[in-house]
Amino acid sequence: MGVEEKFPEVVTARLTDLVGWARKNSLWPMPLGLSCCAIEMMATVGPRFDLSRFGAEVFRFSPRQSDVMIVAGTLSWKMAGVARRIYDQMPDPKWVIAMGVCASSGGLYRNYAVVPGVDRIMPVDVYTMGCPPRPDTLIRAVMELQKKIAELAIDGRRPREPVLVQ
Amino acid sequence: MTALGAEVLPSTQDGLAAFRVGRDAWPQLAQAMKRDPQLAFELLVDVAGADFPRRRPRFEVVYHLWSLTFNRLVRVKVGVPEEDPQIASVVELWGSADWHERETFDLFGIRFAGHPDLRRILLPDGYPWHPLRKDFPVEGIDNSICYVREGGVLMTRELAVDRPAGADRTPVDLSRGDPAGFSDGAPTLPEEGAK
Ligand code: SF4
Repeated sequence: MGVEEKFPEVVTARLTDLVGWARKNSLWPMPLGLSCCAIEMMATVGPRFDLSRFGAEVFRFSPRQSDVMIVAGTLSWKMAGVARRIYDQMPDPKWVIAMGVCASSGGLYRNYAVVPGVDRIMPVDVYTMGCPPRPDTLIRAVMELQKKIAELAIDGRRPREPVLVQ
Repeated sequence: MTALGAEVLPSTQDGLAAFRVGRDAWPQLAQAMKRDPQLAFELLVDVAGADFPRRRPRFEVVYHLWSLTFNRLVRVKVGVPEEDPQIASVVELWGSADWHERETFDLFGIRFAGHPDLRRILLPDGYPWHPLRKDFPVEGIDNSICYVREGGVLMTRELAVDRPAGADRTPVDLSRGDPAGFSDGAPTLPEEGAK
């Protein structure tokens, strides 16, 4: 009814929904490929799994051009400061996917050299299980993230409730 | 070589010629091995540390040298005491020693005198321990010390939240011999079948 009835070529929407829809379908990931998980991340953007079907294929190697960081691999303490700096350089609103058990919790490495989960140094939006997670798991993580982004307030602020993809 | 007090070691499984030399004789010997045309060890393949907690001297720095001229590979072991973990650097002779020595310093705490830039290479700067020593627990001692970097806040949460500091580490008990697999024929290990 209303406008849409009179002009069938017009669709009305809340601005929040519209912005959320645009945001969630144009994710530009920052690949923080730290170890073995990065191989699966590369496979995810390859032709077989094709992450571009979900609008998140433009991997940027500059943090300033990206809005979701995929931490794929084992984060060592030596690297932790660098990872945090990359995160800080990303423009808001930004998100983080912890890919694999290493990034989520330290995984099988429980020692002096490995950060026990990247959530020690940055807020994580989606945790992913698997060692490594299959590409479909990463795609699922992106889809879960898209759900979160769609509910985002227009200024990008929202409660950070992490999602676990298993 | 024997003139410098080098002791020829029995051949190991890999069949590599090996000998041990005193810490004081090592710089001179290194010089000779590099420069002497009869020896001509042009390439330093590897510098590694080893920790034998029950031996004196406790540490060993192991060098692998390769002569491209004669196609010979040789292993040199230099003992380093725990009280004064220091040895002469060979960066002057072999440039490849640079990062290898930094790594040995980082993980064993052996200082290389004369190294141009002896910083940690694998662990964060300011890390207080040397984790490849046998008495270092592999879980780390207090990981929360890695949390704050100078001049900037790095962390968002304290490690102690779910893991009380020091509560779960497994210190190595050296009174019962070297850790399994690394024993240097330690006589204190219980015999098989003994109660
Ligand atoms: S989770 Fe497994 S595959 Fe991924 S980085 Fe860790 S060890 Fe490698």
